[in-house]
Amino acid sequence: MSATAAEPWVGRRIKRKEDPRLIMGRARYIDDINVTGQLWAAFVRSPEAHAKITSIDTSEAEGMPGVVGVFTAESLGLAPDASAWNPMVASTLLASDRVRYVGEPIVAVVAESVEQAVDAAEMVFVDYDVLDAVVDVESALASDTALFDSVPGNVVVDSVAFGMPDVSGDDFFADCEVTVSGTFVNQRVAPCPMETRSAA
Amino acid sequence: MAGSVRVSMSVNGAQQSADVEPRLLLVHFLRETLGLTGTHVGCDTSNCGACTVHLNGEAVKSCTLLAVQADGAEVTTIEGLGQEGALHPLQEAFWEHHGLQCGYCTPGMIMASADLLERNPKPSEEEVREALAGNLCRCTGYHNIVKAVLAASEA
Repeated sequence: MSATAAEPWVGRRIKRKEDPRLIMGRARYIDDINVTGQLWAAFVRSPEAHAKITSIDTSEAEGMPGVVGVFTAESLGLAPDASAWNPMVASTLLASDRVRYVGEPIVAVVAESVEQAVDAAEMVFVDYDVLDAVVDVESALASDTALFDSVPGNVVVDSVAFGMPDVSGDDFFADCEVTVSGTFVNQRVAPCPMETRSAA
Repeated sequence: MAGSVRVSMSVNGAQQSADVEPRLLLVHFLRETLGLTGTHVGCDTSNCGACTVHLNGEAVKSCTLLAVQADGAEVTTIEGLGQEGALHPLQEAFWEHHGLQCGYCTPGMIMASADLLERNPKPSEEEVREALAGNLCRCTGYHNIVKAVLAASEA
């Protein structure tokens, strides 16, 4: 198949080249890759939306069959990782002293089989002091609960600090013939790649 | 191995046996024990249908079955539906009609569609959409999937 003056590529209907392996079930997504001696990780995750972690007990999990290691922020010596877009907000990849969403990973259990990893993860015990959950902009502004000690009042971005005009008072709109105001709710958009980068 | 049970079943025409834990899901038996990774896990809730295979000729969600429940049965996975050079009409149709993008839901879509066409060889568009209600796709918007199934029914 090649392009000619009479039948150029542009405008020609072309079947995808990647489809054969996809329609035959022969593609290799990350979980399809298996190598001899590979280990499996299971994560212990927070059941709380916002809480202080008061203790993490991994002793029982460490002794379970097939377990190669049980890892926490402390055992790995993790330093808080600042978000590129919000330098004020930094947390460890495994939660250290605080969890801020249901599902936040706290402990990583590595074992020789997925069943052994999952069984050992169930034998990790984490204690929590539950804090108020602050889940929307209005309550975050009104609440006494700061999600990050480094972010008083829960305001990470104040547009005035970036040189934008202060539109919070009445003066800014004083000369306008018509002013329109409203509250518009848009759901959070969280693009999630289907798979992460990986190698074997 | 903690409390193992021997299971035997025919998978894509070949007899397979293994010692498994009773809690092992059929999808994990197919993917991990047998290495047939064409069947996918797409959710934790039985919603998505990416795990659809045929058990004794009927479409089932293999994530919601234990391997032990398939003992003595005949299982067909996407790998058993068609081969290079001898694709199933549904596989040809999905390719021809751009019924896939990332391809993750595709094996499940094809297996569910194959079951539909066995039961109802000339479905209406509505019947196709109804039959595929248990299969989710994040990429295509379903439009070309439906076209592909209808085209396969004409083949």
